[in-house]
Amino acid sequence: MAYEANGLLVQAAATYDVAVGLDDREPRWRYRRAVLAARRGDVDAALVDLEQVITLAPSYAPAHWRKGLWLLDRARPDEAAVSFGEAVKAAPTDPAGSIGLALVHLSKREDAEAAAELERLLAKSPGERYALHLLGTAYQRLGRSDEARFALSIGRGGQPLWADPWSEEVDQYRRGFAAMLKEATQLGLERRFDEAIALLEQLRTLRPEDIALRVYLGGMYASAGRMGEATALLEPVLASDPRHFDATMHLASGYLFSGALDKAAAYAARALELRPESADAAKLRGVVDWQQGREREALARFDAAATADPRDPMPHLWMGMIHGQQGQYLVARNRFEAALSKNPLLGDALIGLADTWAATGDFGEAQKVLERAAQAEPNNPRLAAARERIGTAARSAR
Amino acid sequence: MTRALAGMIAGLSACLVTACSSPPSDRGAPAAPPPTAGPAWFEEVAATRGLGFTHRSGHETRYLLPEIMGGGVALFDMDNDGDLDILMVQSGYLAASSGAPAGHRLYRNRGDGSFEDVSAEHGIATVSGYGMGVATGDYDNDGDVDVYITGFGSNVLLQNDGQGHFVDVTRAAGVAGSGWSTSATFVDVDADGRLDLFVARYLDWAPDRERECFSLTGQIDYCAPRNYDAPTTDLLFRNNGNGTFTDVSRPAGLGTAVGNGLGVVADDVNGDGRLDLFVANDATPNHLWINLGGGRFEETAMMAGVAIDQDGAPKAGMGVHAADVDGDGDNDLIVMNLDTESDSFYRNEGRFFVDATTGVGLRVVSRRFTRFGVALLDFDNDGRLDLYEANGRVGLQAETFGPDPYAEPNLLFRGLASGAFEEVTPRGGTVAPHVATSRAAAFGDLDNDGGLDIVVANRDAAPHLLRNVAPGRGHWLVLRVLERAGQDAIGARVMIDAGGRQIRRDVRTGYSYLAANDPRVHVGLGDLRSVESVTVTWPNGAQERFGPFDADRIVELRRGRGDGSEK
Repeated sequence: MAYEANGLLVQAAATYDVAVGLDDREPRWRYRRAVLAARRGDVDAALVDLEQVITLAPSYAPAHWRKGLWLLDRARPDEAAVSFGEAVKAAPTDPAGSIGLALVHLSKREDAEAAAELERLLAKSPGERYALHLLGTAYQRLGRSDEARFALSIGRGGQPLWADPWSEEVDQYRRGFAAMLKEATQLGLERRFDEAIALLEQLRTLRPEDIALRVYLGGMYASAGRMGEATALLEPVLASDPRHFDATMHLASGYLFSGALDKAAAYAARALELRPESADAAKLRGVVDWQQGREREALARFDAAATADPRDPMPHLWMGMIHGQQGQYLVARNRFEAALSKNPLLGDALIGLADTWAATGDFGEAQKVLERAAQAEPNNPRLAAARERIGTAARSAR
Repeated sequence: MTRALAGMIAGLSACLVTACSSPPSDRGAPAAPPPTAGPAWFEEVAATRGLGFTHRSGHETRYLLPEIMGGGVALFDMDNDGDLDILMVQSGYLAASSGAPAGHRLYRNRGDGSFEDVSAEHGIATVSGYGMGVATGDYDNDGDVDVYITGFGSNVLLQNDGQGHFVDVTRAAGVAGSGWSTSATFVDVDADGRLDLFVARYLDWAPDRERECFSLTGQIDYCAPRNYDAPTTDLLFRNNGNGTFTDVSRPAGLGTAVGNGLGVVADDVNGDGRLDLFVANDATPNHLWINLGGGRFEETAMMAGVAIDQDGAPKAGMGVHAADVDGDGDNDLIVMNLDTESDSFYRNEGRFFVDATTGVGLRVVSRRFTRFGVALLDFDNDGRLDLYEANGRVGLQAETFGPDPYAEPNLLFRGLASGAFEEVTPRGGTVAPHVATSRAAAFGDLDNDGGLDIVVANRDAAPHLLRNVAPGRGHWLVLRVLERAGQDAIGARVMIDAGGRQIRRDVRTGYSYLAANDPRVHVGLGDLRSVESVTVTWPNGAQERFGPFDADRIVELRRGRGDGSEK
């Protein structure tokens, strides 16, 4: 598994061969060997191994759904359906088997059956994005365009990645600088900054001269609110390279979050000078402007950010909020709708949209949008207050 | 408000950190052994026929992303002598001084199967810039083929004087563009009889934005596009008819979506008579720009079923082609992707596309390699489209095929009567597999013998010139479809009635990856010795009927001369 985790796949396959020879009652080595065979395109060999795995461990659901996927790859949908059915039996709460059955239907152009299978699954597991993607595909084929558009936009990015403990355990064997950097990045994404920082500090001892690593760690300090450590790392970088964009951005965002708005404004302005076309720099400058009460400038920055990166819902959301604060409810509504066209599950945009409906007296529509917000983002911390606010306004209006 | 705002913008910090991060790339898979040998379909003759070019990526110590993406190749008749000449696009050095020649090479077809380097005397040797791809078309309607070379920083438009001598008219024409351009195509999007120009762009990159990335084995390597998170917009230049173009990208609507564009093909996918544009994007959803008329486009890939395929997440889209594989009169799409990802074959069903990759047999075999150049063409003239894929990695793996760690063999598939594809052995259709880091592949009949040949551009290596020697090739017909003034009728649709079948082909030079291809329509006829008729639908929708024609010849179909005067 160490070989496999670190990209030495031929050695890994050979070692699994030895392991199978030493203990042919252990299903995991055959399973790993099958996964590697499928990866290099030898699906038939993979299926042979997987049959043995299923004999040895019939209750291991991933073996069944993998077999189903590989049979589908070989254009054998009826046999795949049997395997996905076994996966459902082995793990009734795991979406993999049901999604596999839907894939079989789609491959046979049984689109209505696929939609029904996926609707049943989504009634139980509403957040399953890959299922939504497939459901959108089925709806589109069935001519249900509006539903298709909604399902496809919510399901965007969903992939057939399901729980598979015998694969997940391989990851723990990854070693080296790149693996640690990747782990730190993941921790940062999960906002577990202190753990990320601990890993990055270890890496710095290995490569103390690495400027990119220094800047990265500085950015992580800034995100964690540890501005003293952030500036200690980032200021010297800027002293030797005043055009270092990442260091400038980290300092701007760090100062913003620590409330030092004047410093944040200076660095954000500098970042925008360095890369006038950068959507991130425009967004950051806009947020600082907004915090400093310069709404007009903020709107211009957010507009520029939206043009520079048309994928990003956030500038639209923030413009909607500013227009809402200014009482321009129709303009705000358009902006919230624009944000939702990029991300239909953006709870803050739905709440903002509900507020605009309430502000123009349409409390029924406001309630409907709030319900969508509750489905899309039930844990949004602003949802309860919005319900209270709109409910109170509705009662007062009666 | 401040606290609420702080909560809402909390994600911005993480986003900024991520955008500025360098997570390691995560690629790697060993390759399966090649299949056993059979009769070859191609023989490699680049060196013996005079194609002495060597591509240079410019790689020295740093791993700069453009170095792993080039180079390009064009097949076109530069001097109107009836045979295809070859332009090899050089990458060069990213740090080269402004104005330093890139090193592109133009090879004139002597007509006897050999080529001579005429770069210096034909105005190619002095062209500067870090080159990527190439598009061809007669933008000024003077009856000769002009050339557009894309690259990092600025693109170059070369006007042909009719004898194959080229003059750089980029500045006057207003088509330099900016950023990192990749594949491009001339296409008459407004059906006004003048070729416009669409340019795909990869991502917002500069040397000072380069990251440090690692392969799965921990070696420093080229980054994947997701490491930059900097997709960009594509460009559309409208031809003003006076030698100049206007950048209409924004008013056309192209600013509404960004992607990492690598491949482009123009095709009327919805049959409304207007040419649409499909862009294969790397690690971002593909784009399908539906031509609404009036100079406006709408991005509809997600609803059309071609943004991503059945696997859910965006794949690494590179080369692309559109062709009527199932013979139902509309064009299907094929997109090349990264290793561990299969090809994406999208069957056109009128209102939308269906991912039919498994059904056509490409699901398993394609994902062993990283595929770039591509074409769906009939290489054995049996009347069915075959498939060629030019391969080469973009990331290091532990197992290699030779001294070049990015090199891979190319693939050739035979089209079957069932509509599926079957890999041809020997692998790639040559006696011994040619292993290289292949990028562009351009397709055309270089020796006018009715067999389609291939020129493959290889990174940091000599190109491959693959002469078609497929055993038992069938009968054929090659159609040069020309407008009244003698320019290739790019965008015209051709329906060939032969032996009770209706075969659709299109006049198109822009497809594959970083390539410009033979504009002539090639059709394999199998045992048929003639075709009953050929109906051309010109780009403005007018139709004209030609024929009948005997097989095994090159025929010129000039607009307004529906008698099909033979050449």
